[in-house]
Amino acid sequence: MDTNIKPSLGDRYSDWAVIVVTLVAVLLGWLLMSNVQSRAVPFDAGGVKGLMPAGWVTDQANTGVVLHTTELGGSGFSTAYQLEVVPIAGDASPTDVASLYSINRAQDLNTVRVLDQQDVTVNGQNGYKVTYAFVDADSDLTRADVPVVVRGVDYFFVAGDHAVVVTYQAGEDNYEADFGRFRRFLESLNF
Amino acid sequence: MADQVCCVCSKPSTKTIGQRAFCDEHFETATHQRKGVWRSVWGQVIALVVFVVLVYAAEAFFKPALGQTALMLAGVVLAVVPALIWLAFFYQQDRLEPEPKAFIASVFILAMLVAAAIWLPLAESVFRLSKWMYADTLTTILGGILIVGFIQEFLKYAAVRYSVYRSAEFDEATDGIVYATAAGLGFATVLNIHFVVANGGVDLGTGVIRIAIVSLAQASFAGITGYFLGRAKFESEPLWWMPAGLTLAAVLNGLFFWLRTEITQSTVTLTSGGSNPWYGLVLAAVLAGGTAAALAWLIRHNIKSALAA
Repeated sequence: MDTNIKPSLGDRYSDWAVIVVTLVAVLLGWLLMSNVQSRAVPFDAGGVKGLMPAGWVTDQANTGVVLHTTELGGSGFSTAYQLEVVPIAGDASPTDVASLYSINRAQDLNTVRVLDQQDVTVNGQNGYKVTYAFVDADSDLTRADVPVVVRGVDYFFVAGDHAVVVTYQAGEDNYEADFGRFRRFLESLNF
Repeated sequence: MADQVCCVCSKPSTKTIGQRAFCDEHFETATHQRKGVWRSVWGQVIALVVFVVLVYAAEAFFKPALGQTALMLAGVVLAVVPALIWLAFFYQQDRLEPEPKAFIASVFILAMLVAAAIWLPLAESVFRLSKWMYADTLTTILGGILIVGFIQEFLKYAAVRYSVYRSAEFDEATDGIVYATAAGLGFATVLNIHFVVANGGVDLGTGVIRIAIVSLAQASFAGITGYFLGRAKFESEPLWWMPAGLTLAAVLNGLFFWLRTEITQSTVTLTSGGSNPWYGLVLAAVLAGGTAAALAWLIRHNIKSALAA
């Protein structure tokens, strides 16, 4: 016995139609998100050219730092990229620069821990990579937040008589998810 | 007609509406006006606005010095109040043919579960909305519709469609609105509790306004989906019917939260803050009242058409 005289298409496939429409909408939303997050603007700072994320805030640079840009929005530690160009002795290698940085960082941040270090090649350029973590408790004394664990990575490259240090720092929760965007930034650099 | 059974209870059918067959009893329920449902919606909107005004006034008058834990507890209690107000009005007004409390509670809890287990992780860990959705106006509107609107409305739809929809208690088109509203309020309750807990408690005055806005809005959007759901069960609708209903609710969802943000923002001066949440409450009350009026009219119109046919 039937409960309907003649089931319509809507009766039979309504559930699936709702699921398909929702999936298509979410897929379009995902594409929108990817588009927004991959928007970039060109920069030329201290002889280094590249593409940095659009809509980020660029700070006043410290000595040697040619670019320091942080993400707006969200809560906790703001994801940051930094470019530093430092003069070096002619025979210094990326590893030498990394060692010097590790010593300086340990002096500045008593909670820093080096997690990994290795040789890398980016866009055919040999370099050295140091991954680390620290507790961000003193960067902004006006913040009423609980200190957060920050993960960071420094890439060291040598170009002639100077070294280029590319830094990425993000809150522990965002580090992995934001790394793909940093990778695009890193690969856009030209020095 | 002899080999046909009622689409609600599977007893032999005697009448039809459109292409659906009904027994005498369920033909009656499918074609009677249920004014109590609409009175409960109006009552909820008015009672919620009164409740907000009272809490706001009490907070301004007594200026209670609550610690963080007390503020959080107070916020969680406030987050549950909109659902309690609706339930109180609903059962008061719907005494003649009340929906089973267990069914309403099941849908409410199911919506809370999907909000906590699916929506919040998606919003915060997968889509990480706060990091990109406010980049510009177009992104806010499109993201609000495509991601926030569609996912939220689908989850509320699913909480009804895959639970009570096939039961014999879901025996008239208005039930779609009733159960979907319960789902919307369950969803809103979790959003509000999460907001309170994530902020370590909220200012009672502005917190209660936000809670009321979210509750009215979520219940309204769900009510729209529920109307389409109710008709899909009791009338033979085309394939696009239910997706169209969900899309309408999702678009309203996305547009509402963008508009609320726009109208509640005001100029920051040395003496006043940068937002006025009361405008948002007015907008939510208009949305809820307007949605209820539109749905009541549509249901009345549908019943008249069915009887005339």
